[in-house]
Amino acid sequence: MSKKYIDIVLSVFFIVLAVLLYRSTATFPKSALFTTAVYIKFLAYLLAIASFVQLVKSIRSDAAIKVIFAKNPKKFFILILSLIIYVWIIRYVGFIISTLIFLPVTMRYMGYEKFRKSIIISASITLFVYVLFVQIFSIQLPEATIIFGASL
Amino acid sequence: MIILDALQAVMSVDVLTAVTIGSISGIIIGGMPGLTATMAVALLIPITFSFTPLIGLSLMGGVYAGAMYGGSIAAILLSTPGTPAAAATAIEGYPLTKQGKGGLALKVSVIASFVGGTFSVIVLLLVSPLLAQFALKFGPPEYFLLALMGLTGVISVSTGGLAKGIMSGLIGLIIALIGTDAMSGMLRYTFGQVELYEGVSFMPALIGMFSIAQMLALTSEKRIANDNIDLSTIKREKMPKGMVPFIMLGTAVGTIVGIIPGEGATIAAFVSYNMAKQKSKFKDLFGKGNPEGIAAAESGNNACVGGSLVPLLTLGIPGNTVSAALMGGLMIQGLIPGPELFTKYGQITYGFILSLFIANIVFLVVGLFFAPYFARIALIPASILIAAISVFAVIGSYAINNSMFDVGLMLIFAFGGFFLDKLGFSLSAIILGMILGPIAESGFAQALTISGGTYGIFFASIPAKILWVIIIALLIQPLIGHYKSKNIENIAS
Repeated sequence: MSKKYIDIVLSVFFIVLAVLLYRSTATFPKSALFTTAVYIKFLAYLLAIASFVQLVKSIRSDAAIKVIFAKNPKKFFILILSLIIYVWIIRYVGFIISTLIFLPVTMRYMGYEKFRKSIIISASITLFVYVLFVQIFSIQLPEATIIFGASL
Repeated sequence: MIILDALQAVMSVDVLTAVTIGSISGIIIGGMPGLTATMAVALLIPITFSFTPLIGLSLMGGVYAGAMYGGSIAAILLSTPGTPAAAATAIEGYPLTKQGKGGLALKVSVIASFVGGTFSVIVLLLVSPLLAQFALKFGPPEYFLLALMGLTGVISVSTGGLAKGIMSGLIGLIIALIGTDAMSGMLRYTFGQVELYEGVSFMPALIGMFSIAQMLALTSEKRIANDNIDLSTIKREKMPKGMVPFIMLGTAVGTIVGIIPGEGATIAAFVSYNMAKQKSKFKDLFGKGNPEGIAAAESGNNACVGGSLVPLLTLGIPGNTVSAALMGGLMIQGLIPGPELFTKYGQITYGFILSLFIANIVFLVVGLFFAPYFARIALIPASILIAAISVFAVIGSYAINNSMFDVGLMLIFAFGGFFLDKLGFSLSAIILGMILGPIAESGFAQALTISGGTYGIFFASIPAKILWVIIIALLIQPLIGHYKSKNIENIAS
């Protein structure tokens, strides 16, 4: 992807954000008009100026410069997806079950091919975290709402 | 008297155990390329929540000191710096290992790290109370300027250019606006989310940007380090002669660089290394295995530990991301960085500083006797590391407030942070902006209330004038660098 065009889009986005930020102060109550509102306007000005300078720099820059977000896009997107799924299912099945699924699956897709070893490592990490957080330090971990029915 | 009480507290079994565990864990984490001291301290905070403040802080301080040293082991033996700060060490250390002198390089590294680390803690112990006393004279305008100075320091060293550096700092300051306005009690930019009423917690942001974003970057790697050296052949060797001037040089540079906001251990190590190169009688040996380079770089990066804690403990201004994470640890214990730490909470603060001496002794002993064994840690496959750190990041961000909302925030910051980092934005500036935002805003708003809306208050006092000079100097520095590089380009073309 060309860095030049991403930078242009981002700069415009931040200029728009600066304008919205500035305009948002119009609805502030009287008590904040000469203190907080001034501070926010100050940030908005600075953001608009810095973004404009960046916009000019980006327009002048070479379009041939590319940004490589991931050298291995497959692994990259699988990790993003598996993290989202892990965080989503942890609400329902709790820490232990979700972690016991997440760890071996992620290891496998990240390139670890020894299946049995990955299961042993996953179980060890899960047990270690559980003992450390819950048993030793009495820190609560996400519980299974499907089983316990309680909200987190 | 207060120091004696603190010493007594530090000498308890609990604190000594915490420092030892922290320091060894730091060496392990620092020895793993891709894992940083910031990540280690950030992931530890939820655990330290259940400890007494001194034990928690000693554990985190131990990790910080251990990680700074640990980065050098893999750098020397495997040519893979465990932390960015150990990159200069790899330039001289790995050629020595290939010549069969890995043991010598490890000895120089651990002794230089110990001297640098210990000296900087002495400076921290002596300078901090004086600076804290001075800080009592600061009012709202000075605190606004201090926050501005902290942020400018980070912006000035951001690699993506000054404009992107400033934008990064502003992104952090704008995120810090979310929540309840302290002046009017009004809700700002919360979009109806109850969880945002108290603002965006910076810990999930820190964990996301410095743990998960790092793991996303690691997806490109199969194995982080190359295992082409037989570690069993590493022999113990004597400390070579002539290292003292280079250790002293690195120690002085590292301590000063550490105190300056924004300038971290990596800069300290490279500045020390380059100065050692200019000073050395054996310039030709640099790049081919010169222990003088290791002595300067390692004392330089470890001397940053104590230096970086000076502005954090005295003024509440974290100079780098590790001290930002430590600030999270302080705040979770109800300790607000600033002058009160040396009066009301003196026993805890001095105890923490004294525990850093012990952390240095622990890594010295471990380094002298077991260093080659720690190099094997760098050989752990990236696939296991990515999965395990991801679990710790998710659980760590959950445990701080028992909130799944924070976990979601952590992921947003991780993905957004990774994207912005790739485009040259500074994640350090974003996180420091988030931390310094409330200090800057309250200082700004209160100053204007006191002055009745007159901006002259920001220039009135002598400390304010000094702070302006520092801010301008920090901003001019990258502009001069940019101008010089443009000139060189023009001459070359």
